[in-house]
Amino acid sequence: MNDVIDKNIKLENNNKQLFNICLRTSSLKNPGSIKTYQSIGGYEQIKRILKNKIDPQQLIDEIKISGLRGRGGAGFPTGVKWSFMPRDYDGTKYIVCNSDEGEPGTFKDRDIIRYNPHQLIEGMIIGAYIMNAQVGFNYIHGEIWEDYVFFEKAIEDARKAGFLGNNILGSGFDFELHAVHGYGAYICGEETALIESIEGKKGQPRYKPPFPATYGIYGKPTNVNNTETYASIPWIIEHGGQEFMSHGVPNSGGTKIFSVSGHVEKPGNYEIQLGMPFRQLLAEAGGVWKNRQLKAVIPGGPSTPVVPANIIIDATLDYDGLAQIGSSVGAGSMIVMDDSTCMVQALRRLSYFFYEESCGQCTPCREGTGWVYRIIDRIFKGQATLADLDLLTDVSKKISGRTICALGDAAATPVLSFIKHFRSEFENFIKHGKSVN
Amino acid sequence: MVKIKINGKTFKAPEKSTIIQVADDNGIEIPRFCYHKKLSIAANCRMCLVEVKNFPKPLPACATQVNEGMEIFTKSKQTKDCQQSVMEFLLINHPLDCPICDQGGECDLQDTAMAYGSPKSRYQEEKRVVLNKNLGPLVSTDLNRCIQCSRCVRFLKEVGGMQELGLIGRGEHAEISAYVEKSVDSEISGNIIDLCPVGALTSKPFRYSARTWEMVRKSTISPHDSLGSHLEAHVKDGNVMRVLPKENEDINECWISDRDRFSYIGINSEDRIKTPLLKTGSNFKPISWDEAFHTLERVFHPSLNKFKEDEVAIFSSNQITLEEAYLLDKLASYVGTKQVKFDVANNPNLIANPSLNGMIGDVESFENIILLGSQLRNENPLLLQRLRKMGNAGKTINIINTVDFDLQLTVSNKIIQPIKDFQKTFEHIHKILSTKVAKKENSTEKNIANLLSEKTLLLVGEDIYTNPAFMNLTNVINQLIDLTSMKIGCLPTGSNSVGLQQMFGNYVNHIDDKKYQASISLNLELEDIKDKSLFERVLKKSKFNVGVTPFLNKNSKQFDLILPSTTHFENEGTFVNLESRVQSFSQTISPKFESKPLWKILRVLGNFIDCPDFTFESCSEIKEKAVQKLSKNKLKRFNLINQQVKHHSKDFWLKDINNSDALVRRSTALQNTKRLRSEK
Amino acid sequence: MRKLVSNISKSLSLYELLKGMKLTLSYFFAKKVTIQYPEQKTPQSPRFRGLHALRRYPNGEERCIACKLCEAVCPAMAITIESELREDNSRRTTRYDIDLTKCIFCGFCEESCPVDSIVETRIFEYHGEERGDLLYTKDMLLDVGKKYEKQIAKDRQQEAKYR
Repeated sequence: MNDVIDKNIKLENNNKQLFNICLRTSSLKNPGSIKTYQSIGGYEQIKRILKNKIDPQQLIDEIKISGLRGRGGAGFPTGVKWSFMPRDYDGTKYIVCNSDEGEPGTFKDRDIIRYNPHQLIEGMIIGAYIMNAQVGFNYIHGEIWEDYVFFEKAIEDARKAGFLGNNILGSGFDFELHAVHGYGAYICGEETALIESIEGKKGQPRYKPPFPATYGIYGKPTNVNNTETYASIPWIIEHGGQEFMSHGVPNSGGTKIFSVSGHVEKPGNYEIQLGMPFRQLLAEAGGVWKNRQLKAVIPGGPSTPVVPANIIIDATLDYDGLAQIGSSVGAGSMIVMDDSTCMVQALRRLSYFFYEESCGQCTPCREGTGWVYRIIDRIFKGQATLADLDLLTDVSKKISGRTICALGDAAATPVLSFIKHFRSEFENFIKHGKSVN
Repeated sequence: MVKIKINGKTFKAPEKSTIIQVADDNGIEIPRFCYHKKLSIAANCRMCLVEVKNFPKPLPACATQVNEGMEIFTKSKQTKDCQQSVMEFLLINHPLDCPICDQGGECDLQDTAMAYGSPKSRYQEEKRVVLNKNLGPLVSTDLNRCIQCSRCVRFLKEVGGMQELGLIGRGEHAEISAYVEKSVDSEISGNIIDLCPVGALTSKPFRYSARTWEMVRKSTISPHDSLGSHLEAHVKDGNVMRVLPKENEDINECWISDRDRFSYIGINSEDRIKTPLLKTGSNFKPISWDEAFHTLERVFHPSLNKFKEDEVAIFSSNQITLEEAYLLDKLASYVGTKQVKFDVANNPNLIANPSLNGMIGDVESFENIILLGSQLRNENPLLLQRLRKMGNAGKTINIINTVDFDLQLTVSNKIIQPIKDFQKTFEHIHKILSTKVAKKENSTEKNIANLLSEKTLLLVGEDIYTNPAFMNLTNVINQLIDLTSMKIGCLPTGSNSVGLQQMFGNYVNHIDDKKYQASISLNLELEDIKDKSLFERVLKKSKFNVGVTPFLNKNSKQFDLILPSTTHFENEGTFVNLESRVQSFSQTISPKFESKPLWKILRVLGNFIDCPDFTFESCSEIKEKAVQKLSKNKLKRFNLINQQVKHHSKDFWLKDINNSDALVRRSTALQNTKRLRSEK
Repeated sequence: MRKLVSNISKSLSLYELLKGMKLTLSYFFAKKVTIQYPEQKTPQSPRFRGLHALRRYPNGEERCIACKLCEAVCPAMAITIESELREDNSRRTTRYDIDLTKCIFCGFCEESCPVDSIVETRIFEYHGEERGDLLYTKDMLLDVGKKYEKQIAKDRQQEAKYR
């Protein structure tokens, strides 16, 4: 399985390429400023919408056509989600942008905030217009302070330019946007925990239903979407849903940022047209480093199942393509592992992350993640028996699907997929007390 | 109503009820830890996961509302697997040393583990260790045992009114903690002991002293406030080991105040008087009961010592039972005195039948509450809890008071002013309503005036309705009642205030400051009385003072004869609570030393001095007669019964919940709690 | 007729008596089954259920944690325990009485003990001259435990694999 990578591979029958929508200012000079954004037609869409008082339903239809799906991991169609917000609600409604990317290997939202914050702001204003929300929050992950400061400045610029505040551009439409700095908890990326955190409480997921669309911040209807989702909106409105759709493949419209990290020559954010073959993205990222062979890839971040090289290599990067090989797009945080990687150690690190980041609310996750980590640690220290592998799978299965939020599932996924695909490596580690490499 | 199926059987369930409620109503067992019917739903223990048809994942029964046609399986393979796995997860970090745990034998986790757990543990690693916190003198912690169900956190936040505990830390490091260096000070904090499904929070005074199976459970009624909470005293070897709430949805729901829970500690106080004591010179000499009664006979027998009118002063606690009050009434008229006082606040009766009009539970059916006076947090914490519940449900609670108490609830309108200004305020409200001119006025009075309707309840605290200044108020309040048909109620504080009031209705409830031939004090201590100097003066001037009390106290030296009565737990009798509910209770333990229940002392005294119709053999015989004297009138308007009030004390008497009667005062645990918290 | 003659001759020759004496004689020389108590004693099982004892740990700390399981399980209600919070915050007994006149030596107390504190020793020769002498208090039971600890420990070890 190690002979499949050729750096200069020819890609036939494929027209997918890198295409910047969310990061479209990134190649310009001084990319994060409001001037740069306006120079490429920024804020024109909100002007047009407000001027012509375009019917929100028309805009939602456009977004539905675009095939835009939630970029945070769950992949729920955005247009449908926005239509859930009660229209005739009498009171404040909120929209929230979830920039709380805390999973190992995710770094796309910070780049949007850093290089193209105004497109995000415009996206949120359009979202607020569509859902008739009065207040918006951008919840920024606690470990990226500079981006928070930068975004606060961007909000200030937008306010000065008259795109935020009361009576925006004289249209009578009010929208206020605030940046919220989190404290670095991974769980606050879960939408209900994020809402709790914005309310000033401890970040712990709420039981759903009720969903945020009916009971969100302070009990008011609230919409939570990923940064990338919001940042795609202005482009969709500008170019039309059909155009956005055509960049991707059916059921996976548009572009998606993949944060490629791990054992590649050129790690970084790559905004690709969905449907691009994995080979091509790997080639764009400079291929596996040090001329080593590919061993495995976690395509969407640690909460998505790991895929061995021989399976991923022929896969296409879109929602259906990755689902076919038993994984998912997730947040697009692709971790590439070369053949020197010890899978036991990798899993040990990942399970430690989930152990550390469990909020401690529900029993299976609170107790189970620690147990899982300790078993893997025991394997890693050579103190385990073969029966422990079955125990590990069993415990993981008992966490999965039995918790309030998806962190329980997320913690179980890597364990189950690692053992499924690399069981021999684990067995070897138990028998000989060291890695196969 | 919707139709659902549980384990193949069809049940009808009210809409919006949850699966666990339906199961509970129909006797189907679903194990749970975090769910409690009186608290909000957390759905975090995951013990109640059940399989539901057409749902890929198991659903928490406590948080899932039933839908038409839902099919639930509580015993299926998936459900059992969930239960077993959650049980396993809970036990990996729970110490398995039930033999030294105080909860052993009455532990939800223990029982559930036996019923739903697996017999074998697969966990080999080290268990989590959590340091214990000091939550004060009432609640003992053993946080290694905590299963993070968060019932205690939710209780203190939702029912206690102040979040004094929280779950800090994440994941496996999550632990229950109070604020840094703070204890849990809520006056109903003891309930978290009952709520804790494991042995993490246990009673400190009870700690390690008995096992649940050793104790006999005896029901009684709380003597400490006018609610008449139902208690369950756990007795072992003739001693009350602990007191727990007895569920009664109409009165105390499933809570009791700390005062009810920990007062039993005072029973075995060192101050207990063992035998009757007679003053000889400056010392007391123990005498027999026989001698004691002969002494009393010499003083009170009409043939030996005929009193003129009002030559005997009688002070009584407002916790004496209805039976005792009946005997006292007869004795008083036999010795020819109307100088009887049973209201510890030493205020005369002003209005007829001060009681809660209607039932306690009905209070919650009102939309607006106006609290006039009252130190509710110190007087009746469980009634306050109901108001808090109403406040949380979006109803308005309005306060007019002389002191700004922190009641820890959402207050809509608040007026704090001296009592003499109350009349002005109410007249203002009346003016706003009667003139019906939509004046451009933005005052609190206006806000309150707008609330007055038949859905409004005006609750008047004891401080106010016994204050002579209240006489000026009754008229305007009665006018408001006519105008808005709002409802009124009074908040007496003593466990038998209402019963005594009705029994002694014709008395003025007042003692003149003059020289008496003899005085009798019943279960009363100096600290219980508002007008302490009057009490001391009367006793000083009086020729012969009889003190009937379980405990020696500061003013014992003033007595010439001390008779040891029993505490509440050794007595039997009847209380009439603030909603005029007649509740009888029996003895929980037999009297300590040579002490005797007050009703027996009074009865024998009556026999010794040849009081007619005094041949009662049992308490229930007296009760039969006594209840006939209770009035059935409801409080619709304030009717003044006493126009000339000669004596009253003007100063405000701040009450302390942990200093409210002799028994509470001697409960060491309660005395170590923070006191007088509620003043601002 | 012949039967009659035979019976008469048997009677006259004391045949029955001699037959019985033969059996007596045979036991006279046979191996003895009785023992000379108290000089001799029968062998005892390590499970022997005699006088109770309370044990201590080697460091001198008493084992009993006042869980009261023995008290609860005792079918004769012979055990009385009172417990309290000791100064070092541990759960300890203040009173541990066994009324040996009530005890039926069923061994349930021993069986239920989670810390091997209450045990039944091999001692069966004890007496009381007054009624109260057979009410064993905590101190007396601890003394029994101290005196026979070696034997008790050995017996527990032998039994450990069957428990």
